Amino acid sequence: MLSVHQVLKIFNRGTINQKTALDNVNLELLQNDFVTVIGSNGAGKSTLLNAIAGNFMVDSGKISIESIEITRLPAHKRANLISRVFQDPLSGTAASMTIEENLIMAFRRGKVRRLRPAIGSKERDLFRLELEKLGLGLENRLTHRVSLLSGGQRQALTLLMATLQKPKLLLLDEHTAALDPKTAEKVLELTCGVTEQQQLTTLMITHNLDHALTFGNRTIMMHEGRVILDIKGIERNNMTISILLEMFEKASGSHMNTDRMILA
Amino acid sequence: MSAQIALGTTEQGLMYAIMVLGVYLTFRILNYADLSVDGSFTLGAGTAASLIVGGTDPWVATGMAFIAGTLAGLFTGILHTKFKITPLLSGILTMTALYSINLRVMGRANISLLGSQTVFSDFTKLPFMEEYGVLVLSLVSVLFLGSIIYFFLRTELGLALRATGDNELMIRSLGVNTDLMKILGLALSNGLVAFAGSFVAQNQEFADVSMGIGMIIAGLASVIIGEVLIGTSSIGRTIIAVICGGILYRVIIAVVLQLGLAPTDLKLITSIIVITALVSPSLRKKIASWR
Amino acid sequence: MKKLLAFGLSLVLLLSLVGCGTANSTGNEEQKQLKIGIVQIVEHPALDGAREGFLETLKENGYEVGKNLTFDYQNAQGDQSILQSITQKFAAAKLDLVLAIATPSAQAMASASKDIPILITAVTDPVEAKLVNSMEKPGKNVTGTTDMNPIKEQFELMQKLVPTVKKVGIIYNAGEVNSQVQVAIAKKVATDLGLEVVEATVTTSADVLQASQSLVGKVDTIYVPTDNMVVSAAQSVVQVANKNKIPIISGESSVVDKGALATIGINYKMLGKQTGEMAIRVFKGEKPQDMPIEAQKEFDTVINQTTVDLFGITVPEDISKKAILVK
Repeated sequence: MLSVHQVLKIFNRGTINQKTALDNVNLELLQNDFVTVIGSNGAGKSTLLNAIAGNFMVDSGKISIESIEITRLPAHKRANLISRVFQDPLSGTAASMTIEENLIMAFRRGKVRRLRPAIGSKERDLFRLELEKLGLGLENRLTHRVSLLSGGQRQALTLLMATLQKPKLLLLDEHTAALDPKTAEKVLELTCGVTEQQQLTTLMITHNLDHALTFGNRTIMMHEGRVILDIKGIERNNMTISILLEMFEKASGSHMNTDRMILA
Repeated sequence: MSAQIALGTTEQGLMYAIMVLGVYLTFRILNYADLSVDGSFTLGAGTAASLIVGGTDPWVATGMAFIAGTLAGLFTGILHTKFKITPLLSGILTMTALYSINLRVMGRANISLLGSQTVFSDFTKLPFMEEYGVLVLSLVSVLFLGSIIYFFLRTELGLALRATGDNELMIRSLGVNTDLMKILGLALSNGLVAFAGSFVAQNQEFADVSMGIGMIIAGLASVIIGEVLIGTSSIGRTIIAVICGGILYRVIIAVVLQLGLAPTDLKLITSIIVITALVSPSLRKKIASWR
Repeated sequence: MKKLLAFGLSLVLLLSLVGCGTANSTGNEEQKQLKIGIVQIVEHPALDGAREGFLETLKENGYEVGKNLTFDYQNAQGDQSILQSITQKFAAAKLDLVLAIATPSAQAMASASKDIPILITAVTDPVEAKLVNSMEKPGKNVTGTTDMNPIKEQFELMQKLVPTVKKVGIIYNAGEVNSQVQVAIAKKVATDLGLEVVEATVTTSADVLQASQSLVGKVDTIYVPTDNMVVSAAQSVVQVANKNKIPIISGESSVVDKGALATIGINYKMLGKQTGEMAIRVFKGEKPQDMPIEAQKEFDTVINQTTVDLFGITVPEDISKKAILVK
């Protein structure tokens, strides 16, 4: 499904701040993989997602989705293949627009925008149905402005927007990190539900090691722009957090800054 | 006696309201501070005037004025999206260029339309339209253009335009070419402003290369006054609000003049009005919290 | 709540417009009060001078504020949209006469009212501005005075004072129609006299200094037309010209006061006075449509003595006899 091949990205080349964010990264995702991504700060996790999404061009390497090469495509041209949910609950929706307007824009993800009236009653019925599943009461508030919603509600909405039109790849960038524990749990529950139901291929960055091992079928760990661990199947099932940390030290040769992760 | 002033002021207000619609599109919808309004207003006036004295049908001339405005907006858009010039600077650059361009379009600094055939002179010849023709035509035009904008902003393309101004990152990740959206919005906006300029020139029966000076301030003040007084709870309401704001702004100027205040104080009064309009919501909240 | 506020405010404003009107009309009616309006596009020495001269003549002829005259002076401060509101107000006020100073003011007023007698001044070409059908027979409710420069006489004066002149530099704002008209005439006059013209245009008063400097070494004299922008920055031109020994001939006297060599031309105060005399004829019953547009009858030759000494110029006797000397 997703193929990342020898991808290199160096920021601020030639200056004091030069940083190799992605160091010839290789990653292959199979259809229906739900991969959690962990690593210390600056390891390159978000950079990897940004590279796949097309927010910047990589220096060298190849990125393909289902054998369609997307390396040189600008972000908006990759949109019909990829969906994202960002960490900031406010950045996934247009605050001045209504719930149904946001949903219809997401519904048409990757399609050409035409001069026809955006929303019809058929779409509204669909949206109500989907919103009901979130269990947040939003199905009765279609014409309310998104700015009136709480952070958690907006994030749930963003998640729904990301999956309304089934994407080939779903990118989740610490999408529950800015939410309170109860709401975070709810959003993760929704994430699980929709990825299973739609059989989505997913990449999820998380700082919570427990979540990293519980959710999905595969976990990779990044450090200094490289993938240093990639575990799945039985090895992953038997994994504990302490063993994970041990493996990290062995593979990277340093201690991982763990407080934030363990307490997350 | 003053019913005449009220009529004239309302007529003026309606024409300038078309310009305010344009300012609303860039400043509010696109969140883009486009300062080229002073230039495109005059471009519209000058294009229409020079075509009319050359014998062109006034409606064709007005249409050409609109097109000229869209080209100016296109230019600003390209400066920003392709050459990465900041919104503020790209508008200023267009406005500066337009000063010379307007002189070339007009051929001279001032074109008189006294005695020429204009959209208004034609319309007031219709039955029942002699006295109220200008008012009716302006009103119909504003309502027509306002409705078009309203329906446009509810189409898929319109939503994409609004989202570009609200959350560019989001709409880009949903597959919209935001560069194109910005250019579209700027073109439409400046087209409306130029259209307004052509109407004003035909009504006052002359076009002058300096007639656009102060338009952007008037436009912004009108948008703000309208929003504060009528509210922005929906797109439709906001469109009505900015149109009313445009009319109200002219009314305020006329009242100030009637009250015999010194014209030199007019600009200060404009500032005070806008400041009041901006401060009053938060002031009201403060007063409420004191109680 | 907000809606109510909005409606209420608009209603109050519109009513006050009507109300103001009715209040005025019940004013004193003992003797025939003449009500006039004066509309001016921008503050400027020449335009202000014309206005002062106008009012002076009225006063000299017994038309005084407080006695039998009220006037409303409005200045648009360069904002043409405010010009619209001013002329609308005047048109609705059923004034006995309006004095419109400068072309945009005149055009706005002529468009706003086809009945009220309009006297124009400081308009260079009333026919081109379509304010009148012809200079001799205006044909509408507009008449007045033109400040068309005696450019031919000015260039002839230039040749008499600076016999060696070959190239003349002209600084002007291409955005002022009056200047465009004058420059076109100047070029023709120059050709007739065997002189060459070098143009330098400006768009803001700050450009004037640079424009003047650009002419150094390229011209023998500089001509400054009655251009609002350049005249307001006359100091810059004088500074550069006098330093580089380039005599300036200007279109009007205020620039000579500032240090230009000489002019033969419009005295705006006198022009205003002449306009005032035309106004009195209108008060007495004459109709504007039959009153020809007047140009200034006698021009003033004004020479700056200090500049004459600075340049070491000999002024021919026939000129120095008639000239007004300033220091």
